[in-house]
Amino acid sequence: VTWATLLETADRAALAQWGTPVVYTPGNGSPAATVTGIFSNASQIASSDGLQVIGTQPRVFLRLEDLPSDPSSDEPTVTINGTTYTVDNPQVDGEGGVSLTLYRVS
Amino acid sequence: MPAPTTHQSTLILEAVKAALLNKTDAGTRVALSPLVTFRDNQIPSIAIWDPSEDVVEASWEGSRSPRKLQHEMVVQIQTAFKFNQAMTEISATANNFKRQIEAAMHADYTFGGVCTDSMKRSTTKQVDRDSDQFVLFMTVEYAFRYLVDAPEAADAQATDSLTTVDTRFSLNNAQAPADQLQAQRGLGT
Repeated sequence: VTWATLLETADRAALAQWGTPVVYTPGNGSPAATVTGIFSNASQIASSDGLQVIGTQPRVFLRLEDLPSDPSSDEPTVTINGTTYTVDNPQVDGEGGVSLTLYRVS
Repeated sequence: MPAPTTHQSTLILEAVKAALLNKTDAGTRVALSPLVTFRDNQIPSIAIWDPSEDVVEASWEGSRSPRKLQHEMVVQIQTAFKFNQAMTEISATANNFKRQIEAAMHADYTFGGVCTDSMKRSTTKQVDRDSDQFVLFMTVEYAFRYLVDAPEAADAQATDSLTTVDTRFSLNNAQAPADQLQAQRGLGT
């Protein structure tokens, strides 16, 4: 069993356990797809000098093979729990997984 | 002259706060502090503080007594906005807020007499990506000038008694220096 296979098995188990439906809409015009991703929205603080803005930093983990486009070259939007996000800074793990940093559209 | 109970720079900060209250989209969310934390439902808000102050060197050298020192105080008015890549109007939103600040700040250059002059110096913007939307921080900076008497030295509460006076007489300021009468008058005991 290769490391990549083991990692995919672990990813799939985690997605099955903690995953949530994610509507992935490619920016290239391809049809949207509903996939499973692990969504997190932990607290985050933006700051400049002494000024701080309390917020959260939404992220979602997905398997690249589930997606109808490559987020590294496409500009998709994702909708999770009714909120639509643009995607920035896709971080691939080199083993088939990708973590997307999300920004609320409105 | 008795020492003032409130420093002039504090009076200026309070005057700036009063000028901005309910004059911008921040409404009453105007705070005097360099350390302010905004929550989503508090944006935009305004934070005001005075990061620096200089004494104009030329005011050291005047011959007037008591010496009046001219201060230049920097006041920063800071705010923040959230936006998304799709919100192309964020610059317009920030600039409109800046216009509201300017309209309030430029209404009275002396802010009711707490300073001799005030002038806008700069606007800076910075974007932070660490949030569920991008955050644009904007700082509008003003310079305030005010004059104060140099403080009395703590070890010299009163000036020395006047004991002698040197005088020089010149009729209608027309006499040659060599012809002017000079005299010293003793005034003391």
